Amino acid sequence: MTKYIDVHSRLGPGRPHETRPVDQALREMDAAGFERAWVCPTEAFTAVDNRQGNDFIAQALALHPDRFIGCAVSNPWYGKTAVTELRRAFHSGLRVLYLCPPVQGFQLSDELVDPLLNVALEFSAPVYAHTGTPVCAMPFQLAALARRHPGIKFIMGHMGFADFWYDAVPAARSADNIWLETSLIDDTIIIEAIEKIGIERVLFGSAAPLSALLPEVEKIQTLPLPRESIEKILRINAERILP
Amino acid sequence: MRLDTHLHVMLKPFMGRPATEPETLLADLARFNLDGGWISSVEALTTRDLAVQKKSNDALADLVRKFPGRLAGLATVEPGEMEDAAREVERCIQELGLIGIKLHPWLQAFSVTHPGLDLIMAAAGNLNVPVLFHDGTPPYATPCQIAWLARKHPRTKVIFGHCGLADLWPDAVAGARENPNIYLQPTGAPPMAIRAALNALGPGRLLFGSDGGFGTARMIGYALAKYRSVLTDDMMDQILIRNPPIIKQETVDAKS
Repeated sequence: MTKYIDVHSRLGPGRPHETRPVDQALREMDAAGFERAWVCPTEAFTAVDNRQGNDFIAQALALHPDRFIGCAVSNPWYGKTAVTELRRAFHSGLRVLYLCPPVQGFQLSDELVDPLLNVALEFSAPVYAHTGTPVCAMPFQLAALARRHPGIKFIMGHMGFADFWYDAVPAARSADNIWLETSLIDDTIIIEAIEKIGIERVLFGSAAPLSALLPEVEKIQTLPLPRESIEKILRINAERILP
Repeated sequence: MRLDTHLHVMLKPFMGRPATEPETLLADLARFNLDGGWISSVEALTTRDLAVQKKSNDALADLVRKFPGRLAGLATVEPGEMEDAAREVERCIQELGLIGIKLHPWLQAFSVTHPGLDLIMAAAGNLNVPVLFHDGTPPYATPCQIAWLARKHPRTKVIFGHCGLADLWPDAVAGARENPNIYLQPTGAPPMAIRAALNALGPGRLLFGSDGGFGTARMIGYALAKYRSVLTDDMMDQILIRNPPIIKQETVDAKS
């Protein structure tokens, strides 16, 4: 098995269209050559039932510590409770903070999220942020947030797909602490990111089950790049951002 | 014929992307076992000048005549030109042989509530040709907005060209479920949207689109792979081979 790493996927129970059981995720990963995947809870757990979602991810990690990296969710509207929950989730083994403004109901650039980011900094946790959804999750909003928190590594989910693809690379160029995640986006923008920002800041994500592992990985494998560059996107860069 | 019903041609370079060579586009499609498709002009979608659009529609008609059976053209008009726009629809279909209309409310900067849309939709309905909309993009091209227009014009076939994209696919599917004159073409949409469209409507009202001609040839393969992650081989044959001519010719009244 190859040893690719998927930095964005969801795991566990949810509404029928988004449910992705652990066994199914492992089968999909095996079929596409993935050793590990960063996994987030599904939408209800991301929005409101944060503790249940984080506990589900922690249980999956306990069963498959060599296959999953846990992404914690904590809705910033819960204030001090959210900070407490994020600390608890990180102490339970989760290692990434996942922000999804359209699901959690806040603007990515809002100071509301700063207390959670202070916790992420304390734990040296990367922050994955969904982008592409107006008016709350746009690349330049992430850039403003990243400049406000220069000690944190931010990942721009979906590179602004669909209609903020114009903005993705210029936004990332305005903040050195932004990495770009490849799910859903056109390969033209991935190539632009590689050329203008550097391949070291490009990370593979599948967005499963919104998208699917095989089409997403084939998109990367067919890029006109040398094999070692493909390896950086599919594995090496993810290992560097989260050793 | 295996058809990709969402293709673009750039008659001149656009935003750093080179002009489209139709032979190259067809060769790109052939790499993925596709025979041709429906094309629209990027130039016509990025101007509000009907005179420019008329020239572009002429050029598009000239282009597709060189590849009969393989390429078919979608005309574009400016809603603000009201009756002149509707007359251009008639000219494009009846005289130029184009097979439908492509509108892009975001790039063309119009609201679907513009009264000129009623004239265009009525003309398309009278001619029984589809109107393919870019959708999925606020503030002008969301599925609920376009579904409202489709509901006003139940005899006119409307194609959601992106099935709501990443965020608005539930609205696209719901709009198609409510309105039998709406067809879904999940170009660029994620597999979850394709699955939802299939579950809600079955494969009969789905079309394949890749945005080919605008991105790289590899994106045609990426689009096919996303569809294939959801659909069986027989369903793929249906949406690539059987659905395009049926949807082009059928009348919505007969369907509903």
